[in-house]
Parts: sequence; C-alpha cells; structure tokens
Amino acid sequence: MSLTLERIEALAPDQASLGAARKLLKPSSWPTLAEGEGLVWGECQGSGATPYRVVVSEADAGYKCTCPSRKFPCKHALALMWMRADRSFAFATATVPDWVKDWLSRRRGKSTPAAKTEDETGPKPRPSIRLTEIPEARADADRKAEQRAAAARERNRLERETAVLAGLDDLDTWLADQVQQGMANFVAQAAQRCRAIAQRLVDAKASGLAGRLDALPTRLFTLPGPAPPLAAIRELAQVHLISQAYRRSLELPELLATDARQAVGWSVTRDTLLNDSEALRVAAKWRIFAVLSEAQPDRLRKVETWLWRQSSADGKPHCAVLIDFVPISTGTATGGYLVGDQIDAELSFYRSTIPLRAQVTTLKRGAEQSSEPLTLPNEVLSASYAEYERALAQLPWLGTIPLTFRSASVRRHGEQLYLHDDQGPLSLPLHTSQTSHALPLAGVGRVDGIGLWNGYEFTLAWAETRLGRWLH
Amino acid sequence: MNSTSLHAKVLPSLLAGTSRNPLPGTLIRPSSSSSDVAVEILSLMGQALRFERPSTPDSFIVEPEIKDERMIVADTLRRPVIRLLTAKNVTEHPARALARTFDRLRLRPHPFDLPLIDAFVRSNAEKLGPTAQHWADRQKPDAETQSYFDPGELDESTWVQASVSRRVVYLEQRRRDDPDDDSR
Repeated sequence: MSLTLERIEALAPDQASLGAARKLLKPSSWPTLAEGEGLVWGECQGSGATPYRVVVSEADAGYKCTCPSRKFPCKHALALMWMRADRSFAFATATVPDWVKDWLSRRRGKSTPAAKTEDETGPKPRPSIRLTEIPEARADADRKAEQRAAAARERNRLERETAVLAGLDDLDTWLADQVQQGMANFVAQAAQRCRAIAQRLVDAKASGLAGRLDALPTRLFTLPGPAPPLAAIRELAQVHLISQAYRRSLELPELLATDARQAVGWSVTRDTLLNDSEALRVAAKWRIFAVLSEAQPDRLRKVETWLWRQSSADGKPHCAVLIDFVPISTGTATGGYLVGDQIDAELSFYRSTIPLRAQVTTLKRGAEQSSEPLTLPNEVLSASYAEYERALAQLPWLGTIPLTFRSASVRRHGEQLYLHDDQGPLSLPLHTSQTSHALPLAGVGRVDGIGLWNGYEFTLAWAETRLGRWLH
Repeated sequence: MNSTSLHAKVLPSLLAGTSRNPLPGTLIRPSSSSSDVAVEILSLMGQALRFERPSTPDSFIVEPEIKDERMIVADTLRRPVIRLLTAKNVTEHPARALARTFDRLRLRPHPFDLPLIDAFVRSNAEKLGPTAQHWADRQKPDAETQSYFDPGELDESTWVQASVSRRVVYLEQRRRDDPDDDSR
C-alpha cells in the first residue's frame, strides 16, 4: 500500500502537526532524502544540534524519527510521508544505511492503526491537509509594537543583571561558609548544601551556576577514596572564578567575558548563533567519534555528539561538540548520529576562548558510515595533555576536552584501568564505567585513538589496535 | 607561593575548615576590599590542584599472553552475534547452538566483544577457546569463586563440598587432563 495524502491525514495526531509538517516540505530542510527496499528515509535539520533521522516504511506507514517529540507521528515523519505521497520531490535511490537496518531489525511487525478515543464532547475534528493551505496571516510588524518589545527585552535584561549580581553575592557568602566549615564536612552534606544554593541561584536567574552546583554532589559521589574533598576544592574554586569573572567582565578579554556569561547562565540561542556573522564557521568533513548522554537533575538528558575534523582547515578547531537536551521521559538516549558516521557540514561555533560547542549550519552531505581511520595528529598522550594544560590556563573553568594519543597502552593497576603514555610519564585513569568494556584493551599493546578528559577521568572513545577498532 | 607550600600551608585548613584550623595570615592580598581572602585562597588552591597531573601507579599488572590458535569470528558476523545473544527474551538454545558452532569451526569471539556477551562467555567458556576461558575465569565474581565453607583446593575427596559452578569447572578440568578416564 503506497502512501497517500488521505492516509497521512488519518495518521496525523492533530491539525497542528500537519501544519508544522507543511513547513518542512522544502528540499533545503532535507540534506538527505533517499529510498530503497520499500523504505524512504531522510535527515531533517530541526531545532536540535544534530539533524533528525526519519525513516518510513511505505508498505504499512510504519515510521521512526530521532526527534524528542511526544506526538506520533511527529511532524518530521509526516513531512517525509507527505513528500513521498506528493511525488514532486526527488528521492535518491540508495542502499539502506545501518541506522535504517537497525530500526527494521527492531520492529515488532507491521503497525495497526491505533483505535482513536473520543471523549464525551464528541469526536475531535479530523486533521486535514486542505486546512494547512490557508495562508498564514502575515501581519506587517507594527514598528511601535516592536519598539515596545525591544524596550521590554532591555528592561528584562537589566532586571536579570541585577538579580544575577544579587545571586552572586549570596554565592560568595555561601562559599565563605563552606570554607569555614571545611571541605571534609562539605562532602558529607554536599547534597543538601548544594541544593539550597542552587535553588537561590535559579531564583537569581543564574541557571548555569545553579546547574553546576546541582550536579556537584553526584560528581563527588562517583569519585573514589580520598578524592572527593580535593575535588570539592577544585569545583568550588571554579564556581568562585566564574563569579569573579562575571563581575569583572569589562576587564577581561571579550571571549573570556563571553565564557563567563555563558557559564553563569546567559544562553545563546541557535538562531542568535546562526545569525552571528562573526561566529567562527568551519566547513569540513567531520567524523563522529563519541556520543555520550547523561541524565541531569532537571529531568533533561544531555546528549553530546563529539566530532573530529577529517579534512584540513588550518588554524580551525579540530574538534566540535553538538549538544542536545531532550526530556528524559521520551526515552531518547542517543543523538541522531552513530559513532563512525561522517558528515560533510559547515559548523558554527559558539564564541569561546576554547571553541568547542557548535551547531550544524549547513549539511552538504548527510551521515554515511565510514570505515576509514580518524586522521589523528602524530602526538603522544603527554603532548596532547600539555595542550589541555595550555587551554586550562586560558579558560580556568574548562570542562571536558578531547585528547588524542598515539602509541599509548591500556594498563591495569588493581581493578583500575589507565591509559598510559609509553613515551612519557603520564597515566590517565579510565572512567570507572569503562572498567569492564575496556578491559580487553589491556594487553593488546599499543593503541592510537581519542578520548575525553574531564580533569578527573578519561573516557576512551575510539582506539585503533592490532585487533581492529575499539569503540566506546 | 608555589604549589608545594600551598599544599603544606593551606590544604589542611581548607579540609578541616578555617574555623577549626585558621589559615596562616598574610598569605595573599585580597584582589578587592570586598572579597573574602579565604575564598580567594580556596580558588587559588583549586586551580593549583587542577594543574596537578594525575598520579601514575608505581607498577601495572603484567597481562598474561594467552596462546589461542582459534580464528577470530569475521567482522561482519560480530554485530549479528551480539544482537542475537543480547536480544530481549532470548532463550538459551541459540546461545548453546552458537557455542557448539564456534567450537566445531574452531572460532572464537572477538576479544573486544567479550564484555558485551559476558553471560554467554561465562556459560560456554569451554567451547569458545582459551581467550574466552581466561575472560570467564578473570571475571568471576568473588561470591561465585568461594564461600566460607568451600574447600580451598579441590581434589577427589573435597570436590563434592564445593559450589556447583566450581564442581563443573573441576570436572571439566579433570576431563581435559585425562580424557580416557571413564569414571567421570
């Protein structure tokens, strides 16, 4: 059974979904549109950092999309079906990629149309494609209304600045209390103490600092033995530095001041970044070398997609991270990309002293699985670590950063695994969650690869060994 | 002041609390009249700690070299095998059949896959070659290896007192050592 507009109307959860899907009916939103073996699939650049991957089975209108929407089917799946039904969009014939095969192998079987419930007020109006054709009212922007809105935004900004500074005063008092009582004591009561100050910082609209302090007890809890009190000193020191840098932002270099503002909680929207003509943009082939996800206390899951630049671009960042936040309740634990995928894309980097976080500006070629090795620099772990130290000197509250290595080895000391530089006196402890998964690497000899260093533990992401490739 | 003197003079106070163990006076000048010297010292100490390189252990375990002449399963089969063995509601029949096939074809799982199919390897270690056996032995949880009442060394007089898993391992070892003995 082929896809028809009537079928899509029947599948649509509501009229709004159809309206939203209509806005995606343009090839520019779909860098990849392909078909094969009774399936159509595509990649759609949505509001997330990574494009959403959508696949639809033509036979039974089964669908899957990587977006976090709670509507089923989502607008991306509806748009893909719609484009297919419309027959005026070109779908390239291609071999079925791994992520589509993966979905196929996990399907329970052909879907049956769900019985639609009707409440006591009677049946809901059926979504209609015709209704989406009503042109949207495009009222010319009222200049005065726009000026009023701009004035209101400025007023809100000033109010927020005042609130943040008041919050930082509270934070200083709190930090002084912690120093008085000692870090050993702090670690024992970290959860309650951090929760209290985090709530005050949320009220003061300093959400970045609040999040950092909210996550601190968990981080301390995962560290072994005598490490937590020392880690508490390190973490609280960073909080103090951010607070001081924010207050003195006029005295700092522009990029460092921007880092301080972002660390406090002034976020930069995707649209702002994409409209920033001075933002650093790098067009290249990028390889996905790690996808990490972490549940946050605010019931959001942070999904980090780490990319390594494969093609040359002198003086430009070698690495980028795309960060998505999805509600934990959606069950999504991965981004749109798989480790090993390669994309040809232009990335826009958020302004920073150490630019890492980015957004995909244009996707020239969608994700393709590649078996090629990463084009790693010819540097041993110690040299890479020295670069980390230089970056730390520039950005004192630097978080996770990728480190590459050549000719290193994975070694065991008791139950703890280390990435050991065979040519320099440096051993980085591997993340405890990798103790079992990375154990086969102990004894395979020299490895080249890349991983992520957070200042405490190294998360090995990719290793080329004599036994082949090892992935996180 | 360098990192060593920070450790010696400042760290004890920060750990115990400056109310109990006051910081030595005139360590640093506050950066502004309103800032708290103790918090600034915390900040300095924290940053100094961040620049300290992680300590390297004095020695590492020397990994044993395991002679395994079996061929590693082809790369194209690795993913299907993992999916088969880790699927939900999977029965033990495919796992047993797979283990027998590995044994018949003299194949072994890829070493990197061993953590992913750990349960399969533990149950069928003797059919998967020496590398898998070494993995299964090394990964045995403490509770499984020995209880308080378990005999230390198993022999013909004590093996019946051991746990079932130890008995199985003992009998398999005996069969390997002396395949002609029909008493077992």
